Amino acid sequence: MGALKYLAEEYAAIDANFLQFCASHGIFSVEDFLIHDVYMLVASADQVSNSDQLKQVINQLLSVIETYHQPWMNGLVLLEDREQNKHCLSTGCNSFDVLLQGGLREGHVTELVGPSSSGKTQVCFQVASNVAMKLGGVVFIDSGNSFSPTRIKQIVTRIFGSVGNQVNGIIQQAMRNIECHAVFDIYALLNVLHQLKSTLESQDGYKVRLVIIDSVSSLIAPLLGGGNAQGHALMVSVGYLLKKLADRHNIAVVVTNHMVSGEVGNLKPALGESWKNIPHVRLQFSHDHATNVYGVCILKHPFMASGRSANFIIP
Amino acid sequence: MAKAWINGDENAKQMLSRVLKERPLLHLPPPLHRVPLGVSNILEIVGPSPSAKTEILLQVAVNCILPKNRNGVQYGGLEHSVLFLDLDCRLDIYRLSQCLKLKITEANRLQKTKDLQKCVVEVSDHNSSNQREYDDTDVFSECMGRFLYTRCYDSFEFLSALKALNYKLTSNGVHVLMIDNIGAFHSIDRGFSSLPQGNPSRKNIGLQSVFATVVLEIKKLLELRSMIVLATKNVTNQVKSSYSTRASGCLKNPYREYMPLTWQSFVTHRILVRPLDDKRRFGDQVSYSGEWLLPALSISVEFVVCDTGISDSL
Repeated sequence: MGALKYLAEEYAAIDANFLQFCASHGIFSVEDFLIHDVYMLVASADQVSNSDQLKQVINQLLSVIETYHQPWMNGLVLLEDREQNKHCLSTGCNSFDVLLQGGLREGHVTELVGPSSSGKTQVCFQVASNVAMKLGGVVFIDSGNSFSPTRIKQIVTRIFGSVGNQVNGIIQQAMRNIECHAVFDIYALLNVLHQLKSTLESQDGYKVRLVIIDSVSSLIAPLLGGGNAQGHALMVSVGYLLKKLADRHNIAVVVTNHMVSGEVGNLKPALGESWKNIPHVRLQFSHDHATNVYGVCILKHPFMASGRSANFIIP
Repeated sequence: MAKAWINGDENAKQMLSRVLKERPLLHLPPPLHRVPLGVSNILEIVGPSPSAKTEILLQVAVNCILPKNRNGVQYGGLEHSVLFLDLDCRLDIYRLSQCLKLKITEANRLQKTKDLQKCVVEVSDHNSSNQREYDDTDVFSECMGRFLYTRCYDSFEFLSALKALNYKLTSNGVHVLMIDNIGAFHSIDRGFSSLPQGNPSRKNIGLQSVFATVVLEIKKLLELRSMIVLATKNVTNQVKSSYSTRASGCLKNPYREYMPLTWQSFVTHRILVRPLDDKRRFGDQVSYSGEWLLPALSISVEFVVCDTGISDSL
């Protein structure tokens, strides 16, 4: 979208005459046109001498508008797209994959929520290593300097098994496939995501399977509260950008959300109520320090009952 | 001449049966089915996240896209087309196809047992049962074809989708328009109103003007076509339950209303759904409660969500 005069370059029918007519109604951009009543415009076009021509251009503008929203698709097309393009990425951890019926799904935004040291970042490393080894590109957006190449190397070696000299090649491949961005505020995050989006759109060979943001809450939570409307707007923008990337480029997105102390001493997610409707899948993590067993429970899922859980260990 | 015109040509009973046949009423899945929805109704499903709002929409959608009957099998659907505007961009089509398949298999199974009861004497040959299996996929694709979906990543995409519908949509058949989370872009639109306009005659782009246009476009859609609108609205708890709200007995709806008045007054029906406390879980299933706010029925019902859809919690 944008100014109407830029449309004039593309569509010959939108001429200076029409632009002037629109300007007299305070319409300068496509957005202005969208919040206007078309009937009123047609009615006022009737009072001008060259009304037929104006009405024709209004009709043409309406057919242009149609290209500004995502196309309508029927259920069969959607289902086919899902079956062909939205695969499950194995996490490399068996009980986790079983719980999620195959792993993290491309097109979904998955949120890992849990208190400190409940295994969120370790699961991110595990998934990143597994995907980078076997499937393709991973973008790791790190807001807490927690990314550790040595840990990745360790995990890759463990998954691959000890088959001597081939390990180095696999480690190199995995490392090449992981792109790490250190990001310390929400503007830098938006910048990285927008760049990723334009690279994905412009470069044909470039393919990313997984985007991880660890942790998204530490970037967004400081902006919320205190009646600050802009904070929520930025949060929702990040959410929609992630969903757009995930759906259009068939990427699985993983974000982590840490926990802070709530009202009665209970822990609550740092991104609470208003964030809840952004992710497709919400998984809650817990850690039993005595037995060193980690637990994961489904809080929300588009097609699985919530409440199911699984245990796993982090070697 | 004039007298013939005054004389009625059908009585109320005839008219009712005709209208109900042409435009059957739409019900939410039981136990939320107490209030039927007719053409031009606008239902708002209000609830915090997660409260099975999208699930309710999908169940209604399955009921709408199923045919009444095909090849002698009663599917009990309405044969309406569904237009699903996904502002939350979160629908997984797999859930819809899963429910639809379950419903179709269930209807076929019922029909088969009925057939068996009817003609025990006749020798059933394998061909006919194969025929029916084949028809299953036909019915499935016919239904999925009636489900139309688009997603919007911001309010302007939403507005252009509505404007394009007004411009393009033909008026045959009943359409059910579903909007998943009408308040999705609320916080972004609210931020717009502080931007400078640069021209005094220019309309201010913001929450109010966006919703004024949304309401206007939906009104236009309803005027010319037989359409039912179902919209979900995600709500959050009151920021602080101050003493005054507690004292004035606002317990019925403890959630914060944030939509502009133009939208609030546009809605004709409203139902509130919310998850129940953890203590009252039935086994592994989370149960929810539903309550009609408009028209106000003072009964609240409990329901659970399972693979087959929404059902009573008992």
